Amino acid sequence: MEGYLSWEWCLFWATLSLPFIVYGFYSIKRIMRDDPNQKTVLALSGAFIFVLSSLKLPSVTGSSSHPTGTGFSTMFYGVGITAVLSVIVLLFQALLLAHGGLTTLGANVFSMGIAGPLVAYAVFRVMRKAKVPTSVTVFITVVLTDFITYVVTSVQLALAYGTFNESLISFLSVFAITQIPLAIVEGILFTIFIDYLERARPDITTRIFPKKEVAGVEP
Amino acid sequence: MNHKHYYVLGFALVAAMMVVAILLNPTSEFGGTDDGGGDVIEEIDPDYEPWFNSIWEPSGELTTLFFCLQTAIGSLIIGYFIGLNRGKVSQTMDKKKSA
Repeated sequence: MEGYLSWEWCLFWATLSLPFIVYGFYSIKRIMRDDPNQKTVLALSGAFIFVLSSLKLPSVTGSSSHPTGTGFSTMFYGVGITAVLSVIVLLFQALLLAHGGLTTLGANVFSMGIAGPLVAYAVFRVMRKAKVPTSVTVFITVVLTDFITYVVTSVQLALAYGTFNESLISFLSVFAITQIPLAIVEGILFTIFIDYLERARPDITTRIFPKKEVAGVEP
Repeated sequence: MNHKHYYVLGFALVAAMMVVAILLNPTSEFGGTDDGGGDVIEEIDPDYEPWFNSIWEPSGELTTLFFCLQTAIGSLIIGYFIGLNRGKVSQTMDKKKSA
């Protein structure tokens, strides 16, 4: 959506995103220094965003849209690092694919790398506290990262164009409705992957899903 | 049902949702919502002119190439990780057997 936000809004969203990106950058540096084993999980987080945001999936509304892939990173690292990873992917798409846009980069990072993950991470923490089963927690968190991203995109555009309420409904009907089935698809995929991870590499998942007393772990 | 059955069920569900999306809209071109958003902007503010254009825009074929490249990079990392785990598991199994 290159050039579709006035420069004032571009500047506003970029400024708002910057502190999260800087914080995330230092978090990555700290993790690399203190716990090099985390490199694998960090790489996986980025890889999922790469794969899922490259796919344009058909939705029941007859249009298509991209999943975000930020759910994995959100569960493991929260908002800052997800913002940094989103910047990388969004830059790739803006420079090589003329997709998303350079001027709108700040706004896109905010919706995909910050707002969606922030809401989802908060809900994730609550569900962890409430001891909601892992698969349910994963599913809901991932669906939220995806769905909220597009709700925020709609809000951003509604703020920039026309009267807010009317525009919001128009933008939501384009972005949010299409996104619902795609968010569910993404939720299913990550639920499967986290379940696989719990079986194959419990050392990775225990950090965010502490194991109950396990008697005889299945190989 | 063990976990593998649930995985198959999950993947089948994902595939079914894609198929239903296509069946419900047999003639649709499945344009991206990003373009749809642009159309809404034009409706709200017909005089709006994007004030900045992409410095470079790839042709249709190149777009496909770069999207594939993006998917490939991510898939490679995920596949490497899954393969690595698989190798580790069979290695420990071999050790158990020979012990």
